[in-house]
Amino acid sequence: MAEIERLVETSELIFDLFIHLIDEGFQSAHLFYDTEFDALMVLFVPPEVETIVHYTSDKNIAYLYRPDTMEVVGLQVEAFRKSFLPKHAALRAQWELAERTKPVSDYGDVINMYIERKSTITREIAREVDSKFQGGRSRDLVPA
Amino acid sequence: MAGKQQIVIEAIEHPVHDFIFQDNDYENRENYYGYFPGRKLFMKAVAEFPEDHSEGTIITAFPTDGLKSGEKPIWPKSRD
Repeated sequence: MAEIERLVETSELIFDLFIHLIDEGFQSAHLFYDTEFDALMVLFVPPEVETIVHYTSDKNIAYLYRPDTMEVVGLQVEAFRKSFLPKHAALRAQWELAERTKPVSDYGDVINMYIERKSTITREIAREVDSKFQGGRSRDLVPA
Repeated sequence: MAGKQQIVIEAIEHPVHDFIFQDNDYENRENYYGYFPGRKLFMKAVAEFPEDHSEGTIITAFPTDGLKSGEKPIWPKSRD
């Protein structure tokens, strides 16, 4: 059976910024939630910066990288409400709190919800990613 | 992104190897991967269908460099 080839290997991506940001709990990240697609974007750059999705072995989490530098500058957590949140009770509680006060912004056709009060949420996601990222020993997010 | 809409349409009408993939988490979603002209990328388009599978809606599209782990082709059914 013909297969869709992977065009960029994980080893081609640069993780210097990402490792630093895991250590600080993603506190400088911007969070955007696409309600229709059900995906949370964790971005360390402004949303207008072009990013490419790089899928990993993880069922939910993909890297976002800049095509001009290959630097990983964010995460895309897909099926966020459907399958990611149910696996993370602490995060779910914080998410429900944030949703009650959600402001909506229009950044085009992808992003439709900007999340405030994000520090606890980003910390929980950083903890989750760090456990799968194994402190940088594994670049391909290994499901725990 | 200039011409993005046309690239999305192309992905749906002429997906790579003619494959259409079932979404891992949503039974009513199909995923299409099309070549991104002039770049080392695919355009992924996600279509959502109502229960009667009548007319789908594109709910998002974005550039990616590979297939999502676990997605299985639902069309063609088999090329083994």
